[in-house]
Parts: sequence; structure tokens; C-alpha cells
Amino acid sequence: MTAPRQAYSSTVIARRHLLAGAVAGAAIAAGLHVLAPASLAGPLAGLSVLVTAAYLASVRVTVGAGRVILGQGPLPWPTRVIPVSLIADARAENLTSGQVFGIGVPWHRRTTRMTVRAGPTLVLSLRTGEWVRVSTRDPGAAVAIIRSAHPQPVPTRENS
Amino acid sequence: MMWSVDPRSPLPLHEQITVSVRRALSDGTLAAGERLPAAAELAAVLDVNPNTVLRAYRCLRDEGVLEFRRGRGVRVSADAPVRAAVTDAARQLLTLGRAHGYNPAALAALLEELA
Repeated sequence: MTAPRQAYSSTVIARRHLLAGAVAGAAIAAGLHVLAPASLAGPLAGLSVLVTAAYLASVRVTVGAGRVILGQGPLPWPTRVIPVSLIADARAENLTSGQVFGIGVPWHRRTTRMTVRAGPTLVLSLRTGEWVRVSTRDPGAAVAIIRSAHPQPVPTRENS
Repeated sequence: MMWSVDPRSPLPLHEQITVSVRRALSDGTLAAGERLPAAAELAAVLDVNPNTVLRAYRCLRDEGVLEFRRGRGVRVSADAPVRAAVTDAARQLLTLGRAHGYNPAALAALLEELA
């Protein structure tokens, strides 16, 4: 294959999530320390809250060469790979604060929300019926690459 | 940020990847502290060998543009935007100098004279 190739990548970090995690972690650790000063439960619980917040505060998306790779948290793994052939439709949305519900955990078996902040969001409709929403800096660029790799999305019940 | 490679270009693939990073730094789509995709991830979406991406990342690390953090991936270093702008200007000076018969030593002497 000798044609020029393009890819798009972005990492979005929600600093509010991190701050909230740090505050909540410290509060839980202090509370448990008051109840049981000799126990390690306080520091461990506080640390768990902070680690969970750090995991949920960051999402990354990489698009190109027939696939979309999604990842969450500060570590390079775990990742989810979505082949472009599985994507029925892709579009860019600008979510308001009220529309941002969820912190990356699927609340519905057909929807995955990796929306860590309001604003530009990449929305993917998969052929399995699942919807994936991911916070990203320039969803239009991601959509252009997905559409160029897969120019004629097949209409589904949801997007037709 | 956008990445692009063209196998037909005379520029080696790893250099095309470094150009993508420098361009993103100069146009502001990549900021200090931002994390770049893992080499294997980027190689998969650009359809190149992971070693090509690693080579590009190492070049940029040696220039001080990127930082490698064990287990936490590759990040843009704090002074990368300034460094990238200065490196870019130096490259342009080199190209202009060569076109007019100046070698790097003559350009360095000229800079010393001006400083």
C-alpha cells in the first residue's frame, strides 16, 4: 500500500475529575482515620478513590487505517479497538454540560459514554446497535478519516 | 492532532512522523504535557512498523521535544513548543544558508558575530 495515510489522535483529561477524586480520597482517608486510627483502611480507601478518579478522568482516541482505538486512564492499556467496518455512522457533536452524563462507565448496555467533559465529542453508531460517545478535541477530523476509510455507511434503524 | 505519512515521499517515514509532531506544536494542536499515542497504537493506525514510530519518538526525545515516562507513555515536554519553534527556525536558516553557499560552520560564525 503506497497511498498517503492519515491518522488522528487526541487525549482529553478532565482536571475536575482529578481534583474531585483527590478531595474525595482525602476526605474518605481522613474520615476512616478518625474512626480507626491504627487501621490502613483509610489510606487504602482514599488511594482507591484517587486511582479510580485518575482512570475515569482521561480518555484517548486514535483513528486511522481502518480502525478506531479507544483508551481510558493514565496507562497505555486497556484499549478497545473498533474496526471501521463495524461503524455504521460517525458524527461530531458538541455536548452541553447537561448532556454529559456518565464518567466513562456504560450505564446502558447499548451505550458507552467516555465523555469526561462537555464540548466536542465523537459519536459512533456501531452495526451491533451500540453507541459510543468519546470526548475529543477535534471530532470533525476523526469523522473525516473514518468516512474516507469507509465512504458509504450503511443506514441502520437508529441513523436512517 | 493529525498525523500523516506518505510512502512515496523522499522523506523517510520516521521523519514524516516527527514533522507531524512539530507541525502540531507550531499550530497549537499539541500542547506541553499532552500525551501521545503509544507507538504500537500509532503504528497500527498509520499502517507502519512500530519501530518506525519509536524511531521518530526517540529523535524527538533527543531533541528535548518529548519525554518518555516508564509505564505512562510519551508526553510533550514542558519547553517543547519553544524548542520546536527555535529548531524549526534553525532548520529554515540552514536551508536558506545552504542555498546561498553557507555551510553550518559559516552560519554558526555569523550567529556568533550577531550575538
